Amino acid sequence: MKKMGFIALGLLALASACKLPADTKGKYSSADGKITMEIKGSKAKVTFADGHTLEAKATDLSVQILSEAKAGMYLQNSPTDENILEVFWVNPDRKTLQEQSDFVWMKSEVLIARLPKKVSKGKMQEVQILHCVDGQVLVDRPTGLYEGGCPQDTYPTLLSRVSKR
Amino acid sequence: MAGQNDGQAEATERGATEGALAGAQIGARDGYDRCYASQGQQEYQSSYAQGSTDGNRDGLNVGANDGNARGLADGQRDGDREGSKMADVQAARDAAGPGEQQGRLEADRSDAAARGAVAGRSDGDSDAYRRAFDVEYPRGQRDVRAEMEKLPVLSRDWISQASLAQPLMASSGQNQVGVIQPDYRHYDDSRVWPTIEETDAYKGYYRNGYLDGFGRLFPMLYDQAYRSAYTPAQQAGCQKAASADYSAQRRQGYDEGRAKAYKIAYDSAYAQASKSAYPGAYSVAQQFAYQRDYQPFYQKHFELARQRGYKARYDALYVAAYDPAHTAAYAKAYSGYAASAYQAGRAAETNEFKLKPLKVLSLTLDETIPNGVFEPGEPLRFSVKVKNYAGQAIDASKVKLTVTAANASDSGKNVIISDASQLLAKNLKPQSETDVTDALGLRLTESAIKKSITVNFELTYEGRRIHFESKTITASFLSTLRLVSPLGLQEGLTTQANIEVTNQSNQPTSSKTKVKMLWNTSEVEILQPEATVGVLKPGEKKIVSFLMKGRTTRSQVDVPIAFQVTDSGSGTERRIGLMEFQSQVPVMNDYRISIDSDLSGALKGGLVRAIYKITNQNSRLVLRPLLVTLRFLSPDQKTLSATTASVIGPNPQYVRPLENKASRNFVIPVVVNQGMAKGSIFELEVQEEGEVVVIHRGVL
Repeated sequence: MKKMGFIALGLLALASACKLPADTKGKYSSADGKITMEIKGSKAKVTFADGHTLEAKATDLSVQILSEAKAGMYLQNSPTDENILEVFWVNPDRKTLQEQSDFVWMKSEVLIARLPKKVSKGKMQEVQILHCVDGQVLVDRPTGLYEGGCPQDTYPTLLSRVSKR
Repeated sequence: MAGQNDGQAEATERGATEGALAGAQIGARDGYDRCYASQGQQEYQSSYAQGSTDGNRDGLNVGANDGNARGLADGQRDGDREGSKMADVQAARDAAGPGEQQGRLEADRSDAAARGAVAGRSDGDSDAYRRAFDVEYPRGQRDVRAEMEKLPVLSRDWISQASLAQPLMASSGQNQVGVIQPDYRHYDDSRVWPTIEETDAYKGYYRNGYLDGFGRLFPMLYDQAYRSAYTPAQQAGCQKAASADYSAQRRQGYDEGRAKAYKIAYDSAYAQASKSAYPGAYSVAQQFAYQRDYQPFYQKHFELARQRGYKARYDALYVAAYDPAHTAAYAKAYSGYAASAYQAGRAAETNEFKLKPLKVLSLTLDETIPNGVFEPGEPLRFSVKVKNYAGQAIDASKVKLTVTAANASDSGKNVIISDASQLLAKNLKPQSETDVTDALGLRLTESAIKKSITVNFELTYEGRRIHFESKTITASFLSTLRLVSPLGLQEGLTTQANIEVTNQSNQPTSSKTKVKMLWNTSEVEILQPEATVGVLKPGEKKIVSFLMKGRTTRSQVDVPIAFQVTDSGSGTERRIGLMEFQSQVPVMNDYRISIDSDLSGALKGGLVRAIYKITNQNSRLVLRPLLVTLRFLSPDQKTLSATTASVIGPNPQYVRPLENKASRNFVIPVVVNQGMAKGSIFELEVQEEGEVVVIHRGVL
């Protein structure tokens, strides 16, 4: 009964968040211009300093999909602020996938951000992202709980809207 | 010191047992009394409301009937009184002149002048006698006293009462009822030395050691046991009160509620009815009374006026004869009476000096630890300067010194009097002044801190009071303590308590001065319970620190805390400062951890899913990485090897950032290879951006 409760909560949290807010659409860049992000419709693309990119369409997350080491940009509502969408964007290294006693873990590139659903005046002007290539994704099948994050030496980056000329 | 170990042995056997017994008894009684009073008050108030309703109804009915009857009666009475009074006034006016004229005529025919002359002569003589004794008798006394004071002091002496004193225990006196004395169960001073003098010295040395050992250890053990037993007994007492009989409170509530409402309703109805009935009855009664009373009043006032006239004329005739006769008689008798009164005064004072040949010239109450502070437990003794006016020695056995607590309730609680009375240790020499030191004995307890305690000193000679004097003193610790900043805890993390110690005496402390932190709860781990202060000069302040860790998931810890300053510079530890208080200490971590699953499976072994709930309590950082690490500790807090238990998957785990006030569950699966011992610990450490923010311990 308790396990089912956790699964239900996990699904509920991930539901209804598969579209990126209209106020967030546009191009963003870090202060040094090395990291850029473009949000367009339900898609987003991030380009990093070393040239590699993350590109995905916002989608619902299920524990099953995550435990299969499938990359994706997953959205969920903030539990404390109804105007915030939490972004959990993963790009797992399938070779590192391990499982024991229904607990699954893997190494993964991880990007975490918080987006406003609605901006009172105009559009979103800036957004913080937490990004690492050596993060973790963890899924516990029996409880439906999942986790993921970055090591301690990871620092957030502020991206600001690039104004049209 | 010989005997000290034996005294400590008795204290060890008795202190904890007697303290626990007292704590349990007093705690149970206090708990019961408090809860019984609270419940009784509720029962009382409920019954009070019902009584009020009934009382209002009954009071209105009875009040109206009684008020009407009373209005009629009062009108009759007052009208009668007023009519009679008017008749009296008029009759007095009419009778005054004729009556006084009649009186004066009768006085002129009396013996007033002859009587005045006789009385004047007699009073003049007796007044001269009285005046002579008022003036000359005390002059005779004063002259004798002056002559005694002029007598030379033939010798000056010193007497120490120390040899008569009971050894005073240096004790805190906390929770002590009366004087706690050893029963000497381990007393053994039978060792024999080569000479009688050595043996006698040993016996005295042993006795002091025994009393010292008992006196220092017993109060500490007693206090500890008392405090431990008090709280649970208090709670049990409260539970017992819940099943008590409250019928008396309900009955009292109903009765008092009814009585009050009845009185209000009755008084209102009564006043209205009596006011209506009064005026008619008054008018009829007034007219009747005037007619009835005028003539009798006239006769009475005529007689009074006659007596007034007689007395005025008589007194004038009497005084005219009295005054010259009095003056002549006084002048004639005074000088003879004055001489005899002076001699009588001298004789009386000479006899007084025979009965009370002593005088106290000065009295002080002295410390035995001379540092300017009356410390709890410090023996205090009197110094008295006595003058003997007599030409012969005063026998020591006839001079008694006593001390008592002025307020009986202080005795045994705030002040312990060990030597309440003594005879002088040595005779007083003829015509001498003697300093008597180390007299009597008392000490203040910790209960007397910051209180004014008055003791009464008395010196008697052959049972007659020579001197009585009160001394008011206040107990203070040698040092004071102050929290420099509010106490705070963090679960699993080290925090610091800073205490400022001030020496308020006029002597430095020893290098062995320390502060101890006493906090008896499993929710706080004190890493360093003792801090060395070292030498503290008079007036000097020092700050010492204590390190501690919270071991609780509660948001605050509410327990008694004590900081105690001790000085063991003299070889034995002495308490010289204490700060006790009940404090609600907040436990403030940025993150809070709780366990959301049953870990007891780890006792048997196998797979255990440890589900934790993490809450961001205070961290305002956004998008900072979180890292959780699980460790396994034995009951004695040693790290267990991976052969006992290990985490499935990465350890540490990286978990998603958590915004302020949000909570989330996460899982750490654990394989326990062999059952873990009861009391083993799952210790979870959480770091935010590399900094440890909470260490939570789950005990199996």
